[in-house]
Amino acid sequence: MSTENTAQSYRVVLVDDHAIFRSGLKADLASDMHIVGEAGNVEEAIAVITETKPDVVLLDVHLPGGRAGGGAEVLKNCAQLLGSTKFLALSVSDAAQDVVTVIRAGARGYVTKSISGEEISDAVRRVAAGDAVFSPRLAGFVLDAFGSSTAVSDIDEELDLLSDRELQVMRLIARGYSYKEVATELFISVKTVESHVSNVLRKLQLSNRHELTRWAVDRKIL
Amino acid sequence: MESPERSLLVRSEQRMIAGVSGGLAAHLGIPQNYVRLGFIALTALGGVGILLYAWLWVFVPSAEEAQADEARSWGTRTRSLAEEMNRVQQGFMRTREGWEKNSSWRELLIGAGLLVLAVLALGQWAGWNIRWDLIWPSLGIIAGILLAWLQLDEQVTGAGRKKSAPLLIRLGLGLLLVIGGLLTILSGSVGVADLLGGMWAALAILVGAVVVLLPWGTRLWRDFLAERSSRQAAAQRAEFAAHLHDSVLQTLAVIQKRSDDPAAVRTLARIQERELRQWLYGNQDLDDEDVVVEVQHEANDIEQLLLRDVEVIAVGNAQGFEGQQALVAASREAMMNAAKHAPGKISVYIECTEHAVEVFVRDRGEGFELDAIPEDRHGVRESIIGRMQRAGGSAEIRSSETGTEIQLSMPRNTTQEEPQS
Repeated sequence: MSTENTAQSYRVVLVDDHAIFRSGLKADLASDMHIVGEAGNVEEAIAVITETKPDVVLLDVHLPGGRAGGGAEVLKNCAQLLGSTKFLALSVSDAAQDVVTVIRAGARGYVTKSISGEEISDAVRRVAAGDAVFSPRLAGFVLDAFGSSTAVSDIDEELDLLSDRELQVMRLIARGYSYKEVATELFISVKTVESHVSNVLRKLQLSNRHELTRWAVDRKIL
Repeated sequence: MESPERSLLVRSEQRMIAGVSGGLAAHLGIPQNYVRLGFIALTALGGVGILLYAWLWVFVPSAEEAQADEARSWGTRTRSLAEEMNRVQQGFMRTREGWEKNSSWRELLIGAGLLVLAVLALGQWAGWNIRWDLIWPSLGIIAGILLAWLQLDEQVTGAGRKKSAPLLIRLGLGLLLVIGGLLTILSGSVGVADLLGGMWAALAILVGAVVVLLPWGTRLWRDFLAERSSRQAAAQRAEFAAHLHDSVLQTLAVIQKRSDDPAAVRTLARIQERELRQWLYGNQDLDDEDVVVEVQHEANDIEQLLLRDVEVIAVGNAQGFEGQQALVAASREAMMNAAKHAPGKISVYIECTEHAVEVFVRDRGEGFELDAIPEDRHGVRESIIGRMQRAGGSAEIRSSETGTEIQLSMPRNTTQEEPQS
């Protein structure tokens, strides 16, 4: 994380090919968000991000340009920045197929374009703080892919298995609970919920679990 | 002996010549061979059978044509009543046009032939001297040509690519008819030996012509293929445009009208998005009877009915378990309840495991006390809790001031669990 501007101010780059959406989002974002750059296609995005090194990139999943890889291609080309710059994926819908690719490529979470500016600002803050942003839909996907019905012998890595607690958290998020509500429900702190979610995100990004691959292949994601 | 519903008169797909007999047999409900015998008997009576057969051939659409028409006029999507009616009307119009276009050349050709034949038959009646020994072979030639050409037509449309054996037989029959007819006509004026010699010469000429014309033929064929594919692309584009017009543009118009109601606009946009996505990408290959699809369907219904956001998250899928209907109905009731009484988004979560199917319906209302509901209000107590219990499941309601969650659970494959009440 860049530490020089921790005074509740975030440097944000907007990547989206729709100018209408970009200007709308700019007007909507909270005042502690400073837009330091914008881009409308893959090449521009890579250039702007490497140049400005923002705290958070709001990255559209579907982008023209490059080798037609969309947001995931931007992420792959900015891999060396992933430690300091956090990526939050934006998608027109919360369909998992739109999003899983960018999550696997390193995004820290995703939000749908239909949510309010305040919610997006919240998500930016959370991502900038190193946490993951999980929507109910993504939690549902995780449960689907990491779900219970696998024999223990098939699981060879710690990465391939969610702990009971993580499953509980995912299930509550899928049921529409906010992090705070999850914390209350499970009698744990919000911080603990956040760390569970981050762990799940890491597993989602790194696991080579059979079910995950099959799930993705079935839906033509990977 | 009138059967309650008579099948439509279409030419059968199992055909010897044009499928008229089969279609007629299916339509009248009598064995096909009787119909064939009937045609043969009528033919023996002065050729009336052939005329009738040809008549039916011309004016009865083939089964494929009828099917294609139907497919064209009925889409597979679900849509509102008004749109449906509009579509049916359009489809009906298109059906007529398409059918007329498709068969006009045949009608003209065969109709003219039949007319000529009828005039000739009438003429003989009136005592003209008509050379039937020339007319019958010519008729054979025409029939053979038609038989062969119709097979070509079928092959082009790609319907009978697999049934190539009967196709070849029919092609051969057509060729035989044509050659036989020609030889019969010629044998009247030319000696048999000359005829045989001439045949070899004709064959040689034919081969030469084919060799010379082959490149043009293939090129023509390729042009035709290219044109056909571009025509298909155009048709697809037209279908897209029609769909966008029916759905997206209509919704945008409604959104503009209701721009003062953000919640409604939002929901309209969501419904439209979902519908468009469904149309573009289809469902994630789940059965229509799947509990996930059914609950999703109910959720969409409530979204449209009450203009509220209902988000359905599903993990796993299941169908055909006992109590599925009750679960879906109770879920609908729970969503309905939430949509009526609580503001904000409604979250629905379905989890299907080996042992049970669970549905969670959560709203962000002020919550309520089950005991505070008057006895005569059946909503929650009867149609949710009672319904689930009668079907062998359970329902739990957790309510607080930050929202209510209704949890429904239906066990799966639990063999013979007594539905205790």
